[in-house]
Amino acid sequence: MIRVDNVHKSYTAGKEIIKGVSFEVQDGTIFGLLGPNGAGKTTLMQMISTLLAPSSGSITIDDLNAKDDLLEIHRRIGYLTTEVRLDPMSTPDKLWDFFAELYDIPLKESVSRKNAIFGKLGITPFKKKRINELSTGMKQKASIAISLIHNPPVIIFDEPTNGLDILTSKQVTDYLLELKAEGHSIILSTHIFSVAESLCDEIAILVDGKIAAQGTVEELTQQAQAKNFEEAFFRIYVENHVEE
Amino acid sequence: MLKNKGTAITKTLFLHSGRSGTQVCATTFKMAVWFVFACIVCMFSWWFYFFGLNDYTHSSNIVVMVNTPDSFREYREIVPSENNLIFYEEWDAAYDFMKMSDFMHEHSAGITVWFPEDFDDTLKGGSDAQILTYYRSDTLDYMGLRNDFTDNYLEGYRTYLADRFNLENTGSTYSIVRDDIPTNEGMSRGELFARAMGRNFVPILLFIVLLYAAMSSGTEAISGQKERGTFSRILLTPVSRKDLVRAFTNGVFISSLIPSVVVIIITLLIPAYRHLSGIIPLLLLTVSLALFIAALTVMISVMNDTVTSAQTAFLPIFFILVTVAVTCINGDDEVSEFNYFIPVYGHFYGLGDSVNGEPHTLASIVCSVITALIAFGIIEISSRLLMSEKFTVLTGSSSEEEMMREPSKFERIADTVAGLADVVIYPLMVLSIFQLLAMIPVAVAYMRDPAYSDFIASLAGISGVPAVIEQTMTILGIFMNDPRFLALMSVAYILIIITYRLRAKSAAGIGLNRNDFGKFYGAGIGLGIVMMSLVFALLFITGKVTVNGIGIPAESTLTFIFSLLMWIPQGAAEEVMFRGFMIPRIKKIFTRHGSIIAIILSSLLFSAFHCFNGGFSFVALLNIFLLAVLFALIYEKTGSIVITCAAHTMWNMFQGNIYGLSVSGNASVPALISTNYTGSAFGPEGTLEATVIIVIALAVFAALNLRRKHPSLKAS
Repeated sequence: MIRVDNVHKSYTAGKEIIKGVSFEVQDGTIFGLLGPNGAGKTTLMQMISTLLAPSSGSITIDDLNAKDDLLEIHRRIGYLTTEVRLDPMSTPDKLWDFFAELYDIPLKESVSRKNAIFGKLGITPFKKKRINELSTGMKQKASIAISLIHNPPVIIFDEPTNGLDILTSKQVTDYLLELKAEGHSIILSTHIFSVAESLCDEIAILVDGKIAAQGTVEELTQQAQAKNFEEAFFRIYVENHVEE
Repeated sequence: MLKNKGTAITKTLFLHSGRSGTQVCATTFKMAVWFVFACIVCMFSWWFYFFGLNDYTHSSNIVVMVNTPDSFREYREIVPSENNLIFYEEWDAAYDFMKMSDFMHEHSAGITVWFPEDFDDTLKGGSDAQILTYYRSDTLDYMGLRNDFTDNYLEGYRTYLADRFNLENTGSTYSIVRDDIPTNEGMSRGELFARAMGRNFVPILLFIVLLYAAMSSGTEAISGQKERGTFSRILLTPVSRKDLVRAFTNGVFISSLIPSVVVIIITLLIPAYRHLSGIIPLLLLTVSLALFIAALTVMISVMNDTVTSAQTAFLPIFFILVTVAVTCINGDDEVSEFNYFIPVYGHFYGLGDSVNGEPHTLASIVCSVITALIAFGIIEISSRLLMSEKFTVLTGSSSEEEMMREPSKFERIADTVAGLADVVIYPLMVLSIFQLLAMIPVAVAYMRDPAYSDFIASLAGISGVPAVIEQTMTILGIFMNDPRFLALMSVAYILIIITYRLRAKSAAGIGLNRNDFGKFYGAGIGLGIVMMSLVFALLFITGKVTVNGIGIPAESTLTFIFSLLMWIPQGAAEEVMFRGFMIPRIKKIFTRHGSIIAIILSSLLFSAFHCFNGGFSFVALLNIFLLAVLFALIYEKTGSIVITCAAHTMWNMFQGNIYGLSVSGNASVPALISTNYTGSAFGPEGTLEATVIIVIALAVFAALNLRRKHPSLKAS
């Protein structure tokens, strides 16, 4: 379970980027973060992943705090954003083995897991190819596979289907639903309303570093008195966004 | 948790983290280059070893007297010496310690006393005269002999001289300045050379190998991962930051240790350095130095977000350490014991002495331990730094907002300065390294030549930058008439071009295009010959040049040929440095201002580059600047430096080898036409006649281009 409690974040030089955000993500659910560029989605996800420390407030994962047990948290989260890339000169196979060693995964377990995930995502035929020779979709799938190498209970994915074609996109969303069914808790950020609608159990709309609205797709649509979720999002955004 | 987790992480980080194939190739090539350098050292040492070594037993009361003056012979008849004096009549070279060593060797002597020629006359004239004594520094026995002979016997001679020439009465100050020069253990010439190389060249080679290898792997390590966006994934693995820093340091340490161990092994294969006693201190010092440098590079890597910025930050450290190493090159007697305990200094001296088989074991151990402790301190600091999000999350991507922001003015200035520093320092560094390497063997050869002894002796007294530069140019002038130097310089210039070619990753990157090579080169040859001939003709008309005759003395033929050939890579290398490599890179820094800044800046640098040459003047600066502008424009027009390579070569070749004039202030080489020249000391390039021709060439170039650009002009 992920608990974010009244988190603020400001960089030393700049203004506050996250202005008091709180939410909880239960095990076996998918939580969606929706918001325009600059709303603070990436910063928030970086804080949950422990790459950044919140200026105030607390973030716990299964009641563990980054200050107390950083490495245990690392064992429990799988993290993927657009900034996290794979070494272009390596191959999915080599990278898997590399990270398996860093995560201390026994060789037997690592190999069977690799075959299973690579098979499921269709990476197997390409596993010996260099990353920079792979298509965008294959790169993204390899990235997803390697982020899940240690079977983390908590998954934090930024735009997992961004730039993918419909088929690959479907493959990824199906896989995420499968993971959810296995009991993983997942935080997603996305721009794509259909992905948010079909995947997320709960959605928070982030505007200017604050959660403007939170709930299921139906709740949010009703709340904004909109015809559909897309319209609801724009209404909520306009109501809450303050021009500087 | 694995027991040997550190090893596992090092292995995984460095074997799997995907160093690309090209990088591996580049590193291998660099190692091969160092290998060749090491082999060159080997060859010298081998050669000297076999041609100059024999067993040397000594008798402690034999003294060799060189250039003995009459007054000393007279004195000896009055006061017979207990020593067995051997008189060797003539050897002009005062500081030829190798020859002095040979004398001692030959006669099994303990001391050599060298008198200058005209010793008596100098004293009569009321001036100071200097006696040099060479002694062997290996045993107390020799020290006793030396003190006994010089302090007692020579002091008596001094008193005798005062009476003999009535020096006190004339009131002139006189003295015999006794200069004790230890020549090590009565070694043969080969041993001496091998020893000097072991003391100075081998440590410097090791320093550079370590620094270079650490720089290429260390800056790649963390900052490279950050740049590629692969670092946060590693940060999020359940490996502590401290383990990460340790693993990266281990990796850099190992990858810098491998080439240096290769160098050490090759060195130890040389018979002169085959001393088992030195191996342990040698390895200890190398390992501790490698660890220290690896820790430093990793710290810099932690603090920087891109490979380039890390390399820029590392360059000052590179230079400081190499400078420290260079300042360590000294005679044995000047090194105090204390220096052996200080890190870096201790490494330099300790490495050299261990290679020569005279290790200071205790000092080396202490020095290594101190260095290792400092290295661990640096590792600790790096792990603390890596805890801070300032160094783990790229500022550029920490939020979407920041990603889109413009770089600040300060960052832009910093980028520009760093880029310019690279463009400017790189040619200087490359050129000085290769020129120095080319000079070493010739310098050693000249040290033994009596004809240059006065000159070498005069070097001891020079002070001040201008004097140093002047003497350097004189040395260059001497060397330029030596075919060996010319051949080595040709090789050095070719290596410079290869270095640039590798750095730019393609021939086009340094402006050497293959298209129309023959046509372009031919055009360049024509341009260079015509321009230089016009300058010569103008100088002839104005009367600054008169022709004495034509032909080359038979003994200079070899020099002449080598010198002709040398201009080919010389011209090409300078064109690569100042045009093909520099101009596109300056243009990249100042994208908004087109080529103007690049042309002006590269031309200014080119002319500044010549300002240390003898006879440099404002006109010379102007001429070289204008010539550089002309070449830069030709490069801009054709996108290739092939024309200017040929023109540059021909300009210099005709100036020096055909018309017998000095080239940019460098003393002339053997020339086809023997001439009398009364113009600027810098040569034709320092005269207004050259300005006229270059300006005309620029005007012709401009006219041709205007026509091509505007066909309408042609029609009208």
